[in-house]
Amino acid sequence: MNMIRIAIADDHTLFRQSLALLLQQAPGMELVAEAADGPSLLQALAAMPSLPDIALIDIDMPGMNGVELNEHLQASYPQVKVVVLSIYTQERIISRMINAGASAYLFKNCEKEEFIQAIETTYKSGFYVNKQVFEALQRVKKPSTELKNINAIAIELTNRETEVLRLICQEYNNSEIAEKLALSVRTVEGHRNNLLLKTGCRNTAGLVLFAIRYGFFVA
Amino acid sequence: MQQLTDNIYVVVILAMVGTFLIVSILLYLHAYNRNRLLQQQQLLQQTEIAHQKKLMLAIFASQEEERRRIGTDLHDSVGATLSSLRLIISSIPAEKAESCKTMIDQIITDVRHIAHNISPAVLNLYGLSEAVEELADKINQAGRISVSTDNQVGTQLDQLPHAIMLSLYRVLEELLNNTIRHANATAVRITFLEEGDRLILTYADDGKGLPPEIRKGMGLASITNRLEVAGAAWQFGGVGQAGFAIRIELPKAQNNP
Repeated sequence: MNMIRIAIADDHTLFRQSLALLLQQAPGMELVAEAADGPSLLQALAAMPSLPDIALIDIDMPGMNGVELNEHLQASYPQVKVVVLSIYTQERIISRMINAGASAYLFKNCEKEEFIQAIETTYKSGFYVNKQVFEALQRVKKPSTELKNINAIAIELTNRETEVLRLICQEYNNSEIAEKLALSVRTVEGHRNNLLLKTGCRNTAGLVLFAIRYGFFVA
Repeated sequence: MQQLTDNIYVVVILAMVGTFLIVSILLYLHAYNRNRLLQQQQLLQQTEIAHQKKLMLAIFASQEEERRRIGTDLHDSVGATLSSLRLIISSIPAEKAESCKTMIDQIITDVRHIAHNISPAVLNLYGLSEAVEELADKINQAGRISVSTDNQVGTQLDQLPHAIMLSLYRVLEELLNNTIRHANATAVRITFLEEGDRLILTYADDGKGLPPEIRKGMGLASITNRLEVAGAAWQFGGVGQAGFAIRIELPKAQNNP
């Protein structure tokens, strides 16, 4: 089984070390980079021969905060999935981070089990939504109920695409969806690409966000 | 004889003209002096007002700086240590760990609330527009009063200097507090728009409005002080009008702050 490669950026040494310890004990996970702030993490990534799968980042850090770090990561390393780990519980912050491309948002006082599950799910499906994130995304004001993509153009989804979107939200990957709908993997990939194009989303996390916002996905 | 009388007339006229001249010069000098004195006094008053304004600005700035520091300290040291502690506790026997974790969660929640009141995280991270929406969200979720917002100048609001954004945020917080506590209102409307080189903020509720004595009194001092220091002009809604309303005008952010 492939190891899930993880990088951490958090300015609190004790917390970082506790996380490192936790990851060492977890099977299938490997800590590949550890940084006390945004710039050091970006430097570390630039020097690595192969990128980590997941970056665990804090929001409140001196110098470059997590909002900026996430933007840098999304722009330069879109293949690295960002999992935010913060003490902030404000719904506006959660929704802005997910909107900016983060794949998951965890509170710093989450349970160890949830932490591990969030990493595994993000690795497998490209996103992880817990109750808090779901509520934040639903409750933060939406301009209208009409389907709108990022450029605010009304769009329509086909039945098949809606079906695929629902399954994506239930954490199925392409081959599992193909099996469930009796389609080829290539076809599912095509639907997924169409969804990305139509909604203007950058990644799976964006699609889930879209699905929650417009009521395709009800937990 | 005729000659003599003529001479006397001439002397009298000369004396009269002379006296008149002297009196008018004296009068003019007096008026001039008074005027200068007045001008000086006015200048002095103006410098004093400017000085007071500066002083208030300094007080507010140091107050906010202090709040920010305490907020960050609370959030960073206390919050982070608790989070670490919670992680460490995860590895001790379950029955003992559970009650510890509940207590730690309670402390984390408390610290979070205190830190947020002292220094609003959303404002620091994303600026005024998002912070105002967050204020509105919170009140809307409580369900008693509905707050609607219309923000047509989001980017320009977020370009304001941090101190000004914070002042406006505190003013809105205070206005909302007043509405919730005293107005007996069901709805609040907050709008941001632009008029020429000014940004306009309006706030209105449908409550019972302000009694005249508060309008003039100290009740709104904390709000008007902040506005004055922020360089904003304001105007309360007309007397007799239903509900409370205030219109705040402030200059747009300079391109080179």
